Amino acid sequence: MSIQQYDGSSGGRGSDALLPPGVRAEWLDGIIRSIEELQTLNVQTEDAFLSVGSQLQNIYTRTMSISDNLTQVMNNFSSDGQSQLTAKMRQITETSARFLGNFDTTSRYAVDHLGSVMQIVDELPATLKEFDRLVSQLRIMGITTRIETERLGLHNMGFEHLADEVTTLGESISKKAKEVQVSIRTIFGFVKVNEQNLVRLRSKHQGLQISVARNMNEDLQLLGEKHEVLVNVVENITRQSEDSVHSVNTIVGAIQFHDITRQQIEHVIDALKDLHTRLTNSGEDDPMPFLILVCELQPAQLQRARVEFMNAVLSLISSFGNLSNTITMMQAESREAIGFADGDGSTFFSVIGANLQNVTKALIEGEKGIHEFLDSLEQIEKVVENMKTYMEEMSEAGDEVELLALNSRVRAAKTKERGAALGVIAESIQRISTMAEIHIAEVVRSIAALVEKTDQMHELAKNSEISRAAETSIEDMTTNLRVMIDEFASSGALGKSILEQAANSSSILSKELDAMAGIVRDNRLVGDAIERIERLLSSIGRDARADAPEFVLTEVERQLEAMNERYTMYAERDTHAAYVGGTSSTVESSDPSSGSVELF
Amino acid sequence: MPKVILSVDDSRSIRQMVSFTLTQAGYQVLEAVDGKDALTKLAGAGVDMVITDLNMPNMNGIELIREVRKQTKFKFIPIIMLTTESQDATKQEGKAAGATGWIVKPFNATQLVDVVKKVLR
Repeated sequence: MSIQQYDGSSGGRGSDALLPPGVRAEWLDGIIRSIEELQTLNVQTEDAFLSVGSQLQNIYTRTMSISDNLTQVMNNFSSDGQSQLTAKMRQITETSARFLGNFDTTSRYAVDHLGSVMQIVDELPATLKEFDRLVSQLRIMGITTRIETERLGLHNMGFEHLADEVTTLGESISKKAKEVQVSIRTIFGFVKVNEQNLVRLRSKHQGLQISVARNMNEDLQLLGEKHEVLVNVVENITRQSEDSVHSVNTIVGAIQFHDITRQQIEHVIDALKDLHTRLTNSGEDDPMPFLILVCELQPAQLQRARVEFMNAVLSLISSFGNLSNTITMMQAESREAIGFADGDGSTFFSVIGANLQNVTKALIEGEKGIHEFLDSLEQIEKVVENMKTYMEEMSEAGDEVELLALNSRVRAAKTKERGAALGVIAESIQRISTMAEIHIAEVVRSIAALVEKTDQMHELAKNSEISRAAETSIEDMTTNLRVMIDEFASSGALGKSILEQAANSSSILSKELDAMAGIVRDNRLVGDAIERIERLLSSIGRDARADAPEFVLTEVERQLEAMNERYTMYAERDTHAAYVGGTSSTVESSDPSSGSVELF
Repeated sequence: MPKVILSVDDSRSIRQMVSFTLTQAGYQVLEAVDGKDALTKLAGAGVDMVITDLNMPNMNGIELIREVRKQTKFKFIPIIMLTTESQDATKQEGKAAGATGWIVKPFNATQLVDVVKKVLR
């Protein structure tokens, strides 16, 4: 039914017109004022509720969008893909820990072996010093031989040659011994550097091993827990989303309830208009019974409409609040689920990403360390090979000295008593040569020990898992780790971005809901206005009844029955029944069949 | 193509709520302000279902149903009454006129969608 502003003069006479007997002009004025005010209120509230209704679509869309986005990001974090990622991470954690452990064992043994090498290398200079002494003795022997040869006049008997050869061979041995010393220093340098590197890497890897064992396992545990939390959050968001839909449906119901009250008020307006027409048009019927009836019954109808209207208003305000709270809860839960360390802005996933980065770095460094060690071992092996050659050359020189000494002794024997001194010298040279052979043998033994140790280290390093896996597994692992880091980083970034969008959207939604609640709240004053009209009409009814003769009251009862037949709404029939039963002021029940569905 | 539903009610609020509810559920909703308006809109669009109020100016819901059923092409179109009226006598009158079902206002959004799904199946 359309609402038109009531024109009080349309009945033909205003409040100052000649009224039927018993009807007061102030009553007519009150009725006209009530009609006008009710019409205005109806138009105002309808506009307000229509405005709320028109924004409902926007609110619903925004709410569902926030819910969908949050669900999407939570699902993204708790999806099968993430579970597979977790499984892969577990596998990598175990392999990384094993590799790092293996590196630790390898490097520990390597450091021990290097210690042994160092011990050998440390002992060698003392032995080599012996060569200096022997060479010095040989030089003196050479000089003594020359002096004796000259003194005894034993020229051209080969003793001068002996002296020259002894000196030359001595110098040769000295030179080789110096070269061996240089080699030893080189080995010493390599050993030192490798020892330091390995000790440094070991200490770093021990830390990393602990970090991998602790952090990554903790991360894995947290990932598992987070996964559960995220699944729960998704379920919560789904539930909260259902709550939002429920709130929106409540709003849909409340707006309908308002519309029903609006219709009730329209029917009251119609009844008042009918009354006004009867009061202002002279007709055969006495208007007094109808005036009493309308002014007593319609306040009850208005009271019911007012209560239902206020219920609709409260239901709307409460639904807006619920909706706003639900969205805030969704957001808070999502933020908490994604956030790891409060305050620093980093997400759980970025922290895991950072831990994985450390592991990648450790594996690469471990691989590099072993490679460097292997390279150094090869260098040491080359140097040792050179040393072996030098020692062989020294041994040959020693052999020659011995032969020369033997030869000189034979020649000295030929000179009988005259060259006996030279025989003694030759004997000494032979003894020195024997000593040289002994020392050379010692050095050779040390070199053999060096070779054995380097071979062992080489085998150890080459056979270590980290070395064997270096080319393939570590590369694969680090690639996988990088993929995981990227995935975690992108998940974290996506989560942050969606949360920010959701926060913005929620903020807008919250303002919209506040604005709508404000519009609805303003309409609470409508209740006061309706109540004033109720009181005014009731007062007219009371006064009219007080003035009315008995036959008028009898007619009221008769017309009461007729009026009941005009109602089309349960609310009106119910109020009428309560009025008849004398309980009009407490009528609040709604149609028990509201929302009922019957398919024929 | 979404199914088209014609919502007939003289109340703007009710039309708005019916339209909002059914649009969310994926239907296309046309609106008419009374029975007469509904007949005009029915003639011009491929409407799959009608949801109508009972008490309206110009032509009420029961009169509308009678007029619609007179047309052969709308003989079997589902028509649901959506009204504050819940008296059995009125319901019987609607049923006799050719109504498919009866929902008493205020409707529950979920129920309304369920009914629409059911009758359009």
